[in-house]
Amino acid sequence: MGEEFTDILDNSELSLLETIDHVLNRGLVISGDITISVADIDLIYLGLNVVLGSVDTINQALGKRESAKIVDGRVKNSVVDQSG
Amino acid sequence: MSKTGQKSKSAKAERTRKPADQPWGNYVYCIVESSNLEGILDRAPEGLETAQNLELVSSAGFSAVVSLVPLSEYGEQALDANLCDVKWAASRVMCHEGVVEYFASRRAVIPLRFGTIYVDRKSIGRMLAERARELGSLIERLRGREEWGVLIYCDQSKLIEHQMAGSSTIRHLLEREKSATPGQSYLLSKQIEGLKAKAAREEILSAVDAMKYALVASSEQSGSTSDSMRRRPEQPDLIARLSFLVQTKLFDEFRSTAERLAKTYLSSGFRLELVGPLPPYSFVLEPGTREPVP
Repeated sequence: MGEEFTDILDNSELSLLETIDHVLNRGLVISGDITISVADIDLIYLGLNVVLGSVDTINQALGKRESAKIVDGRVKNSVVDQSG
Repeated sequence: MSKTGQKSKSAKAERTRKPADQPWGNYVYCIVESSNLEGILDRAPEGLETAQNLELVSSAGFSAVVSLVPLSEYGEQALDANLCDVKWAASRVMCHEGVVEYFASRRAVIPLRFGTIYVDRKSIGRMLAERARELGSLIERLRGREEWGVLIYCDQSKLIEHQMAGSSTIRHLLEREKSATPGQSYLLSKQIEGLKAKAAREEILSAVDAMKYALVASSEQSGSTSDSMRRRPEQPDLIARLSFLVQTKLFDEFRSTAERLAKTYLSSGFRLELVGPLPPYSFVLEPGTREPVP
């Protein structure tokens, strides 16, 4: 697998948005004992800068993640490997 | 990946002892099958709250991955308030994801949405037993698969340019505009703008449809996208976000399809991005099931 680290920041931001959307808005809903009325928390709207401030936590949490840009018909791989 | 690396068993036992002086809840991250979990927690990351390790609560062949959280921060009211604090929420969200990804890279996993908390641990076992059949068929659908996001962007000025080159109607109107009086010219330019906008809208809808159709054929399931087109001001060209459940061993075919689509639609101003692999958050419902409104 090619290991070009191109546009890492863009891919990290993208992965971040996708992750937040998934964790807050998708996934199986099971009613526990505590019900939260989190209809739609759009952290995204609140400014990505603030979120990216906790980069340490983010880097530790995101595992091996691939974000493939298809540019001019070619797939460019940026493997953002946080493991280690 | 775990920031603490391997921990000794006694140190772990030390930390999971529940401090008696405040009430605790059990936060649930995801559900896995109980078989073959020996040693799986050894290198696992910590839970949402520091020094609270992950534990497994098992029943009826399934194990819930949980960790203790203080109800002073995770009780209903406290949690609602904390979730409005971006920094508090962001780090917990990322931690939740980290736990889910740890298991997703090792087992078939059912990811849970953020915020499932049980006060009584026995309720977790009961829940697993009650839902065992449903969980079983769900995990069967997800086994060996991963979620991929496909983002479709459109440079609308490039699209319009491409369309104008092909539209005799618009070219004809532009010709007329050259020899028109100021009044006629105004009306004609309005007409031209309207036609351009309409043609662009139609082309976008038709392109996204065609791409979705092609990608569905190379995958197992596509996710609902109804609410996922939340406006993203930092990405004005983003026109669609699709999700697909793809068998890991068949990903190459899926990617080839995406590449082929990117080539086909490049000259009309479209571009594609794939994001993944992701744990299958978007595919936890039976296909065709509507999610219950909270």
